[in-house]
Amino acid sequence: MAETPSILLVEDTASLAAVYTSYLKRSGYESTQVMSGKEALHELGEGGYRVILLDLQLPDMDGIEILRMVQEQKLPVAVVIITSNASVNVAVESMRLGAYDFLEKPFSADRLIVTVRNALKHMQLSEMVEAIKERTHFYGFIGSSFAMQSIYRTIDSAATSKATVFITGESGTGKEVCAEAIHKCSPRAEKPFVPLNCGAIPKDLMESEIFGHVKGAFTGAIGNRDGAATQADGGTLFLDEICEMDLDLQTKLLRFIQSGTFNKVGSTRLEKVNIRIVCATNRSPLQEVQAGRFREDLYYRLHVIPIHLPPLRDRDEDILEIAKSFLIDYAKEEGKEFKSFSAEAIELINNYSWPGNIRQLQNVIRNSIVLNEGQVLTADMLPSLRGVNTGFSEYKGNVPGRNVDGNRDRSKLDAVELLPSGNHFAEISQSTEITPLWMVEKEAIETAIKTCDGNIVKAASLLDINPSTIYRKKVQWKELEKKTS
Amino acid sequence: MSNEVGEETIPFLVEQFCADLRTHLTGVLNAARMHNAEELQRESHTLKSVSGTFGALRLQEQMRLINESCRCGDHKHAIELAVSADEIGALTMEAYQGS
Repeated sequence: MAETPSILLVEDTASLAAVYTSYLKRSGYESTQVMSGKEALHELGEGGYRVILLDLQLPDMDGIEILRMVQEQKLPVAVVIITSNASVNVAVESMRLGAYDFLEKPFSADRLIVTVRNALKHMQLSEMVEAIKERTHFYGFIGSSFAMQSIYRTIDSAATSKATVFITGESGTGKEVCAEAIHKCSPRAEKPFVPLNCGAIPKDLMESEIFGHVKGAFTGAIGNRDGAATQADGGTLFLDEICEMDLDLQTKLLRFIQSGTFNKVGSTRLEKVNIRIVCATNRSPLQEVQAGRFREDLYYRLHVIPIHLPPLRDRDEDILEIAKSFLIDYAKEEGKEFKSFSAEAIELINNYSWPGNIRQLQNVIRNSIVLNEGQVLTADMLPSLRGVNTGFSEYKGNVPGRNVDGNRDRSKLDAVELLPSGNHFAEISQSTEITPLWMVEKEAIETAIKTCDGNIVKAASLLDINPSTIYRKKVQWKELEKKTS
Repeated sequence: MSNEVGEETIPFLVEQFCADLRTHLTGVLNAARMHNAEELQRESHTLKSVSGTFGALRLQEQMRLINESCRCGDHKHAIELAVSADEIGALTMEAYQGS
């Protein structure tokens, strides 16, 4: 039988207390009954109650005083007022002081039970919210934003499963941190976590890296070697940048995932391991499938539990929280005295778009600490963030034609290089001729698409609009161009 | 009420009701005799809840009228109503004790 929640009944009239206790008991709720305010306060001090049924007319005090005390001390208990004096004033005052509900005597058993049940559910939800809100750190993650709380919950749920996890997100958003968190939360936490970057290893060595090889399998194979799959036996294998894997190896990986068995390079012996696979990519896996660079059957085999890590710019209040954490850590590591940011520095950090995400933030903070002295990290110690804001207020810290280091480098595809140059718009604003807004918008969107090599989905994402908006506007432009021609 | 609390609990609850009826009806009558408006208001408030919960509607209504008169400051009327509550209270007791 499940543990019964604790209900405190504060009612000084014996017959009423007996009736209410009977109502509760018949519905499976146990309660403690007291007959005075003093006893109620004592019981509350003992703790353990989730709901109080509180009569206002007590022999030694007004029940409102108890309600007031509960609110002042922020006790985690829902107060239900029970009184036959149901004036509007009393009801309003009670609710203003934080009462959960108000029952006018006489009330039926159904009314009481529904109210108690709802109050208990309310307390349960409140406790869940509090538990979630408290998570400012989670296995290497720093951040209490709503977006990250959702990620933490997904990791909690995914960790206990054996199902494959597919992590996506821009570079520097913490995909490996996420994979490690999943491993540490899982029953495999005591077993190995083996990461493998599929983009960092030469393609002809990749198969050996994953599955191992036997002596003589190829030139340079001077001994037997266990691959990552064997090393991760019982634990977790993390395949980072999985979209970099070539198609032939994808076939072998698919067979491995399906059967749990593989052959080492150069060996005919079938090996069997028990691993949980987590993979990640900073590309769009579906686009890779559509482009023929990733096997569709492997995609669906891997894409069982997707986790998308939000870019840092979408994590608002986390940016400063993470920056502060880096400040403290690196100041300690470098033997510097930095303790805080200036207000201007905070504004710069919050307003920058961080296309390199957390990794970039980490580098900027570390760089600033190493090159400067003082207790307060000021804005002039963050030269890479200064002067990068443009007139496009919807884009944080964006300088057209410049990369994240502020250098003119159009050869590098960068999230900030999407908008026409500020000079161009300065010319427009100085011209006596006013260009229709749709043309201005068209030029901005077409430039973005061109910069993204015709990838409308990517251009839309970076312009912070829906891809369907671009398609719709293209149709509108055709009509407008017909009208103006 | 037997549906809500179970048939087996009714005798105990009726006993509790009769005890409270005796206590608080006495309280009402004493307060009226002593012209103690504050006490009369409190006792009638309690007896109103008790009688309403146990379905003694006539007594509940009488207590409601007394309580309201006290709240409005019409203590004379409240005392007059309290005097006639004695008979209603006795009839209620008789009905419940006989059940």
